[in-house]
Amino acid sequence: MAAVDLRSFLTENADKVWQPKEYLAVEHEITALQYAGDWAGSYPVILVDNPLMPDGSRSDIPVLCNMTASRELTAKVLGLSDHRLAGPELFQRISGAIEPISVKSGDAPVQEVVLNGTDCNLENLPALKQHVYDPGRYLTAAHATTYDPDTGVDNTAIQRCWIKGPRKMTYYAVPSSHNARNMRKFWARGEDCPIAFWIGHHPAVSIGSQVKQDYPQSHWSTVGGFLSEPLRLVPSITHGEKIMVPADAEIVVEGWIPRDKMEPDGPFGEYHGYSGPQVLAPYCEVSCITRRQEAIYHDYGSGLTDMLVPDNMMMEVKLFGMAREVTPAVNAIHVPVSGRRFHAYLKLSDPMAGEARDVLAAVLAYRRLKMAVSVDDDIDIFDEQEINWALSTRVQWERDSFQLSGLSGSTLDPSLPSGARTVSKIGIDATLPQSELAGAPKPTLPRSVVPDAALENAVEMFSAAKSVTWSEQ
Amino acid sequence: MANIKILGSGHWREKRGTVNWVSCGSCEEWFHTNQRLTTEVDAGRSRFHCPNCQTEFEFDGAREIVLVPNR
Repeated sequence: MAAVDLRSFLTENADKVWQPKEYLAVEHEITALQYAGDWAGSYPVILVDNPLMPDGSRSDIPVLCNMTASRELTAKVLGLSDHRLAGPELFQRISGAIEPISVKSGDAPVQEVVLNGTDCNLENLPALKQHVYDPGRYLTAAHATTYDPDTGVDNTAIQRCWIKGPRKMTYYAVPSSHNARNMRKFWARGEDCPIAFWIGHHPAVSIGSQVKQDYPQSHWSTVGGFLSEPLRLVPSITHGEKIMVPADAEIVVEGWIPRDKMEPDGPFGEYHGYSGPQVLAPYCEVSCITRRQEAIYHDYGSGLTDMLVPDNMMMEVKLFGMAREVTPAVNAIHVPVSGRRFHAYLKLSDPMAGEARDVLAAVLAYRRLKMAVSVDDDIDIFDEQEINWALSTRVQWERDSFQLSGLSGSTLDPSLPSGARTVSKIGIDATLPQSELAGAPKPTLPRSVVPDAALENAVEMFSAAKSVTWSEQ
Repeated sequence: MANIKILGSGHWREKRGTVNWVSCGSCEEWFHTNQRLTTEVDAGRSRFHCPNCQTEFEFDGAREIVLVPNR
């Protein structure tokens, strides 16, 4: 069976990959390309050969970014029938978890090259400095892997690392994250926390590892479910079987988080589109770097569709499960890129009295969410004009919205007052009143429409006549 | 005589109907009317006008009327 890895993804989707001919610097220029693509609404996978390093040299490690900027391509590589069904379809797949398998180092491409001592140098990686206020180059697609010292159950999650020296980088994990819990447990025992970061793999592996799970619960079997085959793991060089890493990854950085040591990290261009402030963060003392002979370095564009699309899809899976706990009326969920990770739209079919608000209350318990909107199934929740139409025509604010305060939220929320530890949230019921009489129309205004046949004809006419000189807005 | 159905008013926090519906006594198609017109027709001072078959009719000429109470 052919390996499922970053290379198989690139080969199978060669027509979606753009390899710019120009030489591009790891500082800002590659990220700027992603901004240009987002603004144009165009989402090629971007592969940059021989990126220009800060010292003026050319790296022989290419940089891959924008891997998951397209929802449609991301859905395709996940095997979804439609990107709009990410929530319900992936929710089903989670229950079909497949346990990982362990391979020997010689069968692990990611350990083709093992760099120790002075050969082990983070600064040789073509990590990007993405934004103006960033203090340096960051690993943004590093899947930090730790384990719970009480149970031995591992956890893996994308968390940022600022390269501060050849074998030192900060490691920022928000306090509520499962990796941070593991780290605190080691520290409470008076021990440094063992850690490994894997970089570069098939999107299904990276995205599957971002499924929001219980604690402690390993991600590897969930990833297997996403792949429909076992994930190949190999013991890390430094930590052995205590920390397994994906054998078909591109690069692994291994090391230790020294107990109770913190250093400044950031500012950093965050997912919400602002530059987050400098904070205190632990750091990693790197013991070893392993990689493929011809490794590809993967970067996620922080705050860009590249990072938001897969993360938001996984939120849709989590929220779908929470919503289905209270009603089967919910059939799709969208966490839009425009709302970063703060907003969610829920689509319901014929909810019973109160259910449109039940689902809002249920999903607002999810830490990241600040606003949830429920709509009927005549609204396309992937079209924000439709959402705004529902909000503007189906909502009386006092009756149809409710606010909750003092809930846990994202501490990175830029609107939070300094020192605040909780957030306020809003639920909005933008559904129509229910039908009360069988055989009679819903007691609301019907949509204005033209006959289907006339509309189809008009669309064809318009398409044939469309001129590039017509105004876009 | 029209078959008149009056929907419940419910609690103010619950979403209820916003418009009345009338089924034409001639073609049986439904159309929607606001409260003032419905009241005027009920009082005999105006008539409904079916947008489908163009028939004008009084309250009793409707096949069915679904009324949303004022709140």
